[in-house]
Parts: sequence; C-alpha cells; structure tokens
Amino acid sequence: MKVRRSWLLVPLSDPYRVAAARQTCADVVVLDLVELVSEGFKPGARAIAADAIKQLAAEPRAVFVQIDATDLAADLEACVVPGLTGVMLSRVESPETVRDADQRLHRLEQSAGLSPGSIEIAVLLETATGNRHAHAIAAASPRVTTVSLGRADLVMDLRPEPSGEIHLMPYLNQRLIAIAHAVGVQPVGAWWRAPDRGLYSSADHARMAAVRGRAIGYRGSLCLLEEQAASLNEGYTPAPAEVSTAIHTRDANDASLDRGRVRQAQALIDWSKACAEQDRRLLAAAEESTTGLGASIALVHPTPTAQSDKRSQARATASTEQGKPPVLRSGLFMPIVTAKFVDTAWRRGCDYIILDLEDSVPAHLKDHARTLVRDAIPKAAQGGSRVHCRVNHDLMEADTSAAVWPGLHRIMYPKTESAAQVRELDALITRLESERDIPASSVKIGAHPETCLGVTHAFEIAAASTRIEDFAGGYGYDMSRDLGVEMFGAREQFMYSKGEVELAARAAGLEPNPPPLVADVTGNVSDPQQALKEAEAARQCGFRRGLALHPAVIEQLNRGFTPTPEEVADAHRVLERYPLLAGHPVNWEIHEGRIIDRYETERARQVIDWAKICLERDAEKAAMIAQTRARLDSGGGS
Amino acid sequence: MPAPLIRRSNLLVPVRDIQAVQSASRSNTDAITLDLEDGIPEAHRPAARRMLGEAVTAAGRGGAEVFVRVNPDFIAEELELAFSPALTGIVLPQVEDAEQVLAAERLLSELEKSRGIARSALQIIVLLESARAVWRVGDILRSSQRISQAGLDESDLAASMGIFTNADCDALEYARGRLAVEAVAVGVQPILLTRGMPERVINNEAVVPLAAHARSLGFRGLICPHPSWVEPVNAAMSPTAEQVAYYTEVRRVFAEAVAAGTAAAPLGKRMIDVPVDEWAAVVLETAAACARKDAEKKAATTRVRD
Repeated sequence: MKVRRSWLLVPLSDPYRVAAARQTCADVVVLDLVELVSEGFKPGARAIAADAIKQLAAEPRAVFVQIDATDLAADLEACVVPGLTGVMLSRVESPETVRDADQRLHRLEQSAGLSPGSIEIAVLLETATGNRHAHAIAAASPRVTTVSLGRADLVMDLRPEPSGEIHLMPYLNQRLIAIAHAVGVQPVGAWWRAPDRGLYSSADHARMAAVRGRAIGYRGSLCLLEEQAASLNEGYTPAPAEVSTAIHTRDANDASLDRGRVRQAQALIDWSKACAEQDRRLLAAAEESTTGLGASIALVHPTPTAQSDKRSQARATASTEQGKPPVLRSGLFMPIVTAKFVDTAWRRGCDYIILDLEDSVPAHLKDHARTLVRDAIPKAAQGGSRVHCRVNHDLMEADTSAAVWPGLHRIMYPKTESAAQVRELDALITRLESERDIPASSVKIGAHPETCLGVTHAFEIAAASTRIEDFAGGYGYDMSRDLGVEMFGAREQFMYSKGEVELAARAAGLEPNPPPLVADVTGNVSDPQQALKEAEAARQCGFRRGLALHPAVIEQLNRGFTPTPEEVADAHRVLERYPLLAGHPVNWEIHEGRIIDRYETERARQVIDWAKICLERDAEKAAMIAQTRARLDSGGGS
Repeated sequence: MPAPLIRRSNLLVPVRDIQAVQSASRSNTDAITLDLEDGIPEAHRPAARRMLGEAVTAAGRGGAEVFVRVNPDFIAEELELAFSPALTGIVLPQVEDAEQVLAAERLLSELEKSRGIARSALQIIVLLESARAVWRVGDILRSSQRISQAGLDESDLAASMGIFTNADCDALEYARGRLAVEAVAVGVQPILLTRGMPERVINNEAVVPLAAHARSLGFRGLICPHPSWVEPVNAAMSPTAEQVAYYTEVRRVFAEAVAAGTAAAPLGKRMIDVPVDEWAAVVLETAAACARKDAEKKAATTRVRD
C-alpha cells in the first residue's frame, strides 16, 4: 500500500526551495514546471530538472515532475532520468493526451535505461471537459496511478470565484473519488474550503482539509508549503482514537454489525499501519540526509527569457472571441393567457421576459394561447427586455411555429430528454427563420433536462445544437415529480442531477443558471429580501442568471447579480499589484493579507467587465422604459 | 397511471432459524429476503440451503413478498432449492456489470421453463456494493426487464473506497444520487441498504430520520436488518396524513384555477401549477396503494391465524 499523503509542489525555478525540499517531510515532492514558474524561467528550470531529481530521489520519498499536457515533449525530455517516480500531467482533457505521454515515456525510458512502464502518470483534471472524460482518462494507460482535480485552474474554468469553495466541488470531489475507485487509481485532493483560499491555507486548515478529505475517500492532497505537508501527513493518518475504535469494531464479533462495517474497520487499520511505516522510513531518511550530505544542487538561478504567459493569453483570446456576454440577471415568467400581466410586463425592468405556453396555461387554453404570442413579443420588448418563449414539450412543433417571429430571442424547451429532440427543434427553427425573414441562427434554444432520463443524457443534449445558449435543469418541480420526492426536502437531493447538468453545460462551453444551493429555499416566490439574498449567494457561487415567478423580486435579482462597488474597487487594486511581480521567478505573493496571482488577476478583470456591462444594461433598459412611457403619455398607444 | 410498486420494507433474515423466519412473516414487512450470503458464515451455508424450501413457504404466510439473497457462485443450486409459488425473486449481491445480471437472467428463465411458470415472473433486486458498480449503474439496470429494484449497500461501498463512515461527513451523496437518477430513468425503484448505526440497540427514533432522509432523496424502500425497523420504515416511506390533506387541497385549488382560465394559482406563499398538481396526484395514488398493501398483509395474517 503506497502512502502518499502530502504532495508538495516546489517551483523548479527556485533553487532554494528545491534544495530545501531535501529536508521535507512530504511523502511526494512535485517539481513544478507549470503552475508556479513564470513563463520566461521555464527553459532554465528544465535545465536543472535532472540534477534536482537525482538529489531528491531518496526512498521513501516519491518524486514527480509537473508538466504541461499542451507542451509535453520538452518537459518530458528534461525529466525522464533515474530517480523519477512519475510525471504529473496538468490540464488533461482527453485520453489521447495520456496515451501520447505514455508512448513518449516508453521511448524515453528505453533511452534512459529505465524498465518499461516504470514511470507513473498522475493526471490533473483542471477543466470541465477534463472532468467530463475523467473515467476514460484514468483508464487510458496502466501508468495512471493517481487522479486529482487540479486547483485554481479548475475553479477558473468553472467560474471565477469571489470567495470560498465553489458549489460544484462536493459533487466533483465525490465523482472523482468514485471514478478513481472504479478504475483502481488513487484520488488526490487539491482544493478545500478555507478562509484563506485553497493551497495557500494555514497549517490548521490543511490538517482539517485532510481529515475531511480522508472521510470522503481521499488519501492525499496537493500542497504548497512545508508546514502544510506536515499537516496533511497528520490529517491523513488516522488518530489513535480512531484506530482503537476500528479495532474494537473489527474484534467485537457483534452479530448486529454488518460485514461492510467490519471491512471498513479493517481498511482503516491497514491504512494506519502503512502510515506508521511510512513515517518511520521518512524519519530514517531525514537522519541519513543530515548526516551524509553529499553533493548539493548547484544554486544556479534560471534566467528569464522573453516569453509571455501562454495560459493567460489563451484565456484572453477565448474571452474576446465570445464577445460581450448577455446580461440575463432577471427573467420573469408571464402566463401568456393573462393579458393584464403581459401588457404591463415591460415596466418591470426585467433583463428578459418568458412568455409561457407551458405550465401556467391550462390544457383547454393551449390553442388560444398560441394565437397570442406574435403580438405579445413586441409588447414585452418595449422596456428593453429580451423576449423568450417557453413551449410545451409535447406540443413543441405547434408552439414553436406560433412563437418564432421577429423579436423573439429564444425558445425555452422544457423536459428535454434526448439530443434528437433538440435537433428536431433546431431544424424547425431553421425553417421558420428562413420562411419568416428572420436572420439565420438568431433564435436560440434553452434546453432543460428536468427528468431523470434527461439528466442521464445531459452531456449529449448540451452538445446537440449550436443554438443552445442556456442549459440548466436537474432540479425543480418537474424533476422532483419525476424523481418522486417532495421539493424542498433534503438539501442534497439534487446534488447529483444538478452536478451532472452543470458539468455538462460547462464542458459544452455554456453558462448554466441553476439556483444556488441555499438551505432556506422555501418555495416562497415573492419575497424581495429572500430573492436578494439568494441572488447574492448565487453570484458568490459564480452564477450570473436568475429567474422569477413574481415581479416583486426583479429589482433584487438585478442588484444581487451585479458586483458591488466595493468588489469593483478591490478588483482594481489586484490589477494594479500583479504587474509588479513581472521578472520574478515565482509568480504569486501575499500582499496585505490578500493573494495576488494570475487567477486573482483574471478574476478581478472579469468582475470589472461584468460590473460594467451590467450598468450599461441597466441604463439601456431605463432609457427604453422612459421612451415608451413618453410615447404612451403623448397618446402613441402601445 | 399504473399502480406504483409498494415495497417499502424488505426484511433481511438469515436462513438459519425457522422461528426467526416465522416471526419475520408476522412483522408487517412488505417483503422478506431470506439471506444465504453475507448474513451466514460460509461454513453454515450448505445447511442453510437445505432449509430454503420450508423457509420460503413460512416467510410468505403474512402476505409479504419473498426474495432470496443468493451467492453469485451458487445461484443455480440455490434457485432450485428455493423455488416455490411463494417466491417473488432473488436479491443479486455484488453486481458490478451487466454480464452478471444476464447470467442470473438465463438461470431464472431456465427455471421458469422447467417449472412451467410464466416467463419473466421472477424478479431481480440488484445490490450495488462498489464504485465500479456505481459507475456502470446505467448499463446494469438496462440489462434486464426483471430488475424491479436496485439497492445500494452503503457499508460495502464505503469499505471498497477505503472510507470509514462517520456521522459528521456524508461521502456517499454522489453514489446515492447517481443510483436514484439512473434507476428512475429506466423505471426501476432505488432502495438502500444502510445502517448508519453500529450499536446493537436499534430503536425507532434512529430509524425514522434515516428512512425519511432516504425517502427525500428518491429511495422507495429500505432493506431492514432487524424486525424493529419495519414499522418506522413503512411509516417514513408512506405519505403522511398531512401530506394527503395538503395535496387534496392542491388538487382542488388547481382545478378551480383551471376552470377560471389559468394554470398558475397561489396557495399560501407557493405557486401551484401543472407539475405541482401532477405530483399531488402521485402522492394521493401512492397513499392509496400503501393502504391497499397494508390491507392485503392484514388479510393474509388473519387467514393464517384462522
């Protein structure tokens, strides 16, 4: 049983840190060529890799080198030498990457005289796409021994995070652990809740994270600081009281105990023994290294070459390609058959209005309802709101034909259960656009898996049409009915279904809009204070879109999904500070108790951009509402 | 709407003690599973097999459905011995892939043919006990029409993932959610085999929240390790009188709204629309089916007594 509780990341560009790592208590040293190394310092860091591995490779410690999956060749070349335990591939998104690394390693092992297959692979799944394919990636080569979620990169891919843990993490952690055990590899934790954020957390938080990590099936975590490594070793090693409880459980011979519980106890006892043995060997190795210091690593400072940060560049390009994201903080459902609601909807300040043909329209009025949509579209739009229409799943064709008219922005397709259904809707819209003189591809689709069957097809549905601009589901009244549960029951009753749908959306490059996981969702649809609280909580989770059934909460949704002036000011401070790190080999710092790194910088940029377009949107709507009012007051009619 | 399957409690009884089986049949459990697997030390299994015929008949006397938890390597032999008109089906443990289900399926078909009973009369309850099984649950559940319920054995799953379960941290939310969603998607009922309490003393107070929690996650039944679990599990898995009253009111309010020309109507601070009304119909139908099930068992017990 391999004991790898603490995986200490050491930037290869910092020779002092590399030298200090010889005295580390970490079970694994990960020499980093990717995350912590400023781009210009990489060639220099590669040059000292082989020497560093030789110095650090002393039983029982494992030595990995973290390399970039998008730049395999040069990094692998530099680090496959005797003493290397394995490579950690960052940013893996497909099994092909692993197979490619596998073949390259095979060749390099031959030329280095290493036995074939001896170099392990640890994969970091740092994107939604990587996580989507986690099982195939873990099973892609027998060299894969370890899988981990990666850390800040994953958070950035899922959504920049103002604070704390991202809400999808419990789902992703448990999913990764299940997949790892299904394939037979070790899951390693990387991200945990801590006031001072993730890998920069204090020793105490690292220990708590390890205790929690162990409770859900992790056996180790990545860390950045020596004192965190000690804490991880401690937290991942069962405490004496736990071991004695386990021994008691195993030996009690109690007929009322299930056998699974006894198996659990035995596994804990075995793990505890393996940890004790590892600690003994670490101690022996530490004594040896202090008494017998031989050659030391040459303290050669890698020198920078002119290159920019490829990842930030890639991300910046991606965000300009997408253009300005739509502002959809507040959506209001309008029962199309209730004229007094539809006629006044434009005054509400909604970012968008959903003309509903579905659940708020009784079955006997469906035909009548369809005749109302065409005229309602311009009426709803006159306050600057976008206009969507929710069709009936079973009446999709007739409803869509009645709704795709100039001014309509999106068809909301409820209870989506298969990719084929979405393709059918796409084809119908294409035909209607051409017949009705509507710009091609301008009408979008909102696809919503709201049944168990739909959730099982989430990944296929999300990728079924380029018209899909919204993909959300796995919760709500329809989902509860299908799953057979009361709404607002257990807090985690939709943890799996929401997680699947959201991961599918993120992997398809879509921005989902599920409500936040707040405990006090009561089903009350018209409480402004609660709406504000929920919108703020949702934004803290990285969401930007909200929905309402009642006009009383629209203003609160708009406000709750917009960054506050304080947040914007803080973001500006981060942007000013980060450029000062240029020219340093290590690319992060803690300034006035606040982390400054490329993730925080990217997040700050997004906060500022988002705040700006929210305010532009508010001004645009206010102008349209004023204009319409003036026209109506002067007797212009509606 | 077809009447829902009501199998809230399924009492696990080791086939060793005919008196335990008889008392199980009087426990008001919806189903009894005669255990030949984990609950019986391997050395005692041959003797237990010889008691099967008598045990199946005895177990069915109180109106409960009767299942046998078989050993995957001895299914053919155990099925032969267990066969009786009172047998509802088998509980298939340690399922990790569709192949294992198909193997059992073939044996059940042969048995049905040789005994001259209707094809596909015998049901399968699969038990998932490992991460591999959780990952492949969709394939497993789609492999046979006989599968009426799928259970997650939480203790064994945790052990297989190296987790020592404790009350402070729930590590199995993903596995439970995956089973519930994948099962409902193919029309199979998800159930749980969970203990959550290692103490020998088992009381209602501990079982009620456990069962209610399982119900709120979509699970329709619990495999019960002890007769004292049966009543609290049945209660937690049935709609309450308050729910029946509330949803009767929901249906009335909704019908009125529809008559008035809208399908969205307020009730208290909530909004009643089509899916809420549909769910109300499900709750009322389930309550009626639970009441029928309880009446059936009562009638069977009365017949035995007379």
